[in-house]
Amino acid sequence: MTIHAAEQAASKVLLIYDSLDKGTTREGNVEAMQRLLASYGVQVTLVRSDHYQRGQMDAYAKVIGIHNLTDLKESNQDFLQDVEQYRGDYLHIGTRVPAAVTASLELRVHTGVPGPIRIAIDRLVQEAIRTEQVTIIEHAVGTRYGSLSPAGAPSEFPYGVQNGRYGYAAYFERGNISELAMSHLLKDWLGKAGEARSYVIFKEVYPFSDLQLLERLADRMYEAGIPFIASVQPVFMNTDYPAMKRYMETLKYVQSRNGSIIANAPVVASTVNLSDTTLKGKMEGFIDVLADYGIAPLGLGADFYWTYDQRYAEEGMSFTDSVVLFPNKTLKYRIQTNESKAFPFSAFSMQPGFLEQFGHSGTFMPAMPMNTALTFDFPDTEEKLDDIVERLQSSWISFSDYKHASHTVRTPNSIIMSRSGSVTINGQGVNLDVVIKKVSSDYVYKEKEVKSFETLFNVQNKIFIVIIVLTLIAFTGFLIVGKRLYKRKYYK
Amino acid sequence: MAGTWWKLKIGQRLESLRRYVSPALLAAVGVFTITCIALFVPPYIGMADNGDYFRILYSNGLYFNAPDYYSQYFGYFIKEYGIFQYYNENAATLFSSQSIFIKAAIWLNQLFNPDVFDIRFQAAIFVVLYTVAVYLLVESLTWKVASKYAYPISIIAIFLFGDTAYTAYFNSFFGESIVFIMLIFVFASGLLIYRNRYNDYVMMGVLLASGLLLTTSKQQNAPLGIILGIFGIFLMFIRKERTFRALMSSTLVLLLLAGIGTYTLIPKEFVNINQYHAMTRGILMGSDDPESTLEQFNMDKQYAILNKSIYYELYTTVDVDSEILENQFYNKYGFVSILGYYVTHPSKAIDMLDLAAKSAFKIRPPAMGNYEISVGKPFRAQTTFFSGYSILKAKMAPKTFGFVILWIVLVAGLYMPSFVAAARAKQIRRMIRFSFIFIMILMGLSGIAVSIIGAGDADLAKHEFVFTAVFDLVTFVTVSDAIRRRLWSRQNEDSALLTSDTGTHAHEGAKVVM
Repeated sequence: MTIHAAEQAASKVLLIYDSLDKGTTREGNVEAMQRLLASYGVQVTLVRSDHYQRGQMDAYAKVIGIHNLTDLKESNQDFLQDVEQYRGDYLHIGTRVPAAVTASLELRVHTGVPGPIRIAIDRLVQEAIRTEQVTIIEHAVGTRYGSLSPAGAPSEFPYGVQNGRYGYAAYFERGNISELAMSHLLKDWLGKAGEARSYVIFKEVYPFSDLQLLERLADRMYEAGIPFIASVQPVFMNTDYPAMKRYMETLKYVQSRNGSIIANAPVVASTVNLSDTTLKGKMEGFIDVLADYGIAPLGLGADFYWTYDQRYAEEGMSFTDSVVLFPNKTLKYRIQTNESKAFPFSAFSMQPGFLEQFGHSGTFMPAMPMNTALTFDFPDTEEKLDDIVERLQSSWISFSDYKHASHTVRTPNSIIMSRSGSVTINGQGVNLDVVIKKVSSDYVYKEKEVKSFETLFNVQNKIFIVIIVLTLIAFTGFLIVGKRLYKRKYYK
Repeated sequence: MAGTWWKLKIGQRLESLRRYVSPALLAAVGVFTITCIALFVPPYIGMADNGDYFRILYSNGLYFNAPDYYSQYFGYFIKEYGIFQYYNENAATLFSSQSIFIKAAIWLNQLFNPDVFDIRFQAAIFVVLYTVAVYLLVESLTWKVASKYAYPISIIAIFLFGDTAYTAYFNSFFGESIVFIMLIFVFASGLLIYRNRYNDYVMMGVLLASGLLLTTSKQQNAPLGIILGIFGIFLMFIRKERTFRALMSSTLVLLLLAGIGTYTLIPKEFVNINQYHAMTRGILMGSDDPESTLEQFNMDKQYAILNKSIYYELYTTVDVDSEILENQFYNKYGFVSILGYYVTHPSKAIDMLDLAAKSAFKIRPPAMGNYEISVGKPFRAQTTFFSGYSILKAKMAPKTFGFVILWIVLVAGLYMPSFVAAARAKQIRRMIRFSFIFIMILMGLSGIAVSIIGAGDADLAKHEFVFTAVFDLVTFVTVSDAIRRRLWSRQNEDSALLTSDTGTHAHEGAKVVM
């Protein structure tokens, strides 16, 4: 095995789950784990345990097992046997803990504890989480993470624990503080050092959004000293129109007011046409249009499932090494795969409401273990905008400038980079001294068709019209005369 | 001499054939057989979903049960659907006469299988109705007509009505199947009244039922009811009895009201996709300066960037159902304001009409496949089985609006003399033929206008279905009238049996004109 291959294997994780457990509070926890792993830049292979093949985990340096089902025996004996003999790192979540994990962590658990529960991690706490029955770690050796206890009970037990190769957490659900607690455990278990940062990102920015409001947002954020990211909707046609120029003028201004621009993934039609391979050209085309205008797109904002789609990953994401992954809305896969695409820089998108669930002690919001992006939809009114800016100002999170991290976007025609705050397009520094230019509406939308002999045909048309009119008049005259003659002859 | 002998021989043969199979029956049986082969014998022919099925399907208690349903959009015909076994929250979200047929088909289906709906049950209902409709139309043209003329008309009818471009719609959830069948019923009832073939009251019933079903099948058809209600006025005067006049005027008023009701009561049927295209593939596309055009509609000029964009593109800037478009785009314009725009910009309207004419002669929309995925044909593959007429039409028809106008002038010119003569002779019943041809032409034109106003140039081949159907029906009747020598002369022989305009029947003793 070469060093490179060994490194690759080390950063690959096999994620095995027994059930998505739809309809219970655990629904969505597999996806939450996938998102967390993505934010640590880990490439994941997702396998349901009944599809697991003997020896499969040997190709991976790390394996995570999520066991949601409480009432069924493990159906796949291959998996159970492999876990016991596995030589790599293993993190277990949920029920039916393998003997090797129990032995290594000297685990003693108490099952069937009814909810609600309280979880605390790093000065953040969420009281009274409604859930089904949980398991509590009564005893374990190793590093402890956070605490979990029945709501209102005085005693605190660790949320999760890690010792050497093994890690364990009994409870993990989507949308509450367990995601944060898990992210702390994961960071150490994955061996990720390095400081993580928090960002603010605005999405739903369209060419026909209120551009003046976008300008105002840039000003307000600049005055408040909060750097931010705008994830802008891509445009694939009419990019030479004045409307596009106005859009880009505004984006350029945003860039000059401490805003960073990333391209948002396009809207995908639900129609599936596998033969279509235009995505790459379209995305690169959009990046080039921005770059030519002096705007530096420094990454991509996309729904998380894009990383599990071969077509999107290859064609729609490969131009960049930096992504912000949003929670999935509607899944519209082209070629779904169980192997994710990993990125050197990836931020975990959080809705503002997520953090508001937690109480915290101390003045500053504790730093998150992974890169996070507090995500807002671009507001459509000034009141909503003011409200967001005020909330950001009063929050205790210190937001970082996206440009300060390393990002590279590469198309056949342009290379856009940021290194420690300096942004370049094809090696040239980006001009940050921008005044919005007024874009004139004058534009030739329709090319006039080239016509030959135009005057000749015009004259000819006129002559014909005169001749036809004269003929009609003469014809009517003849008719009248004829009718009279006829009457005179036969009606006497 | 020999030629005359042969003609006589053939004539005699045809007359003896007539004893067993009337021309109308021959046409009906021919169309029935061909359609059954196309729809019920593998490989089954139907139409792929273009994304429109969802609404009508779910509101009628059916759902997509194929696991890879969405990947077959546009590509493949799917014949089986799930039937909701529990409370259906989508029930009755919209009324359309199409629901009546789907409900009937589900009921029929459930006699055999309570869980899985096979669309061929619906096709079976349509095939029966279609056969009756074709029978009535051909009967109106061949009744008491010499066999040497009548049978060729039947053959033409089979060639036209057996075409799978039309009948494939029966194996689909598109409203076009109802539109076509009901158009034939409406036209046939008018012509049968003109011929005084059956009881006028029965025909009035057929007209009312088919007119109502046609008008309420989709919102785009609202003008059809209005046209029928207004221009059917002559029907009131074919008989003098007060009961008849009262009933006929109620029929016409009902049709008129159905038209108005369809327009006002089914508001959301003018769906976002169509409204989106009406602007991006219609008004903006035709405009020399989209920004100033948008300002006329009091919209943000930045929307010019959507000029010419198509919703069906795989990768786009904006979701057609997104909040931003709902709040700032669709709110700003509607059917009336678009109509107003075209009225005040006639040159743009003419450009669009020319564009529309390009697709006005395609019966089978090119976007949708006809085969099931299991047949193994490529994505969007279309059948050529019994499609001679539709292929010929799509290839041969001159695709300009000028041709449409010429066609109208020609048809009107051919029928006008007999109409004027009937009006002069105050024979109202004889005026009915041209009235109905005129009604049909108006319906076709309204089909074109509504499709441009409603969705620009997107999906024109499908939206212009009413026109293409009317073109075929009117041309068929014109050609048949030419064959049986009844275009402008000998009209008295068509209604020779009428002793007066009271409509007294005198079928007996009528002689077949050779």
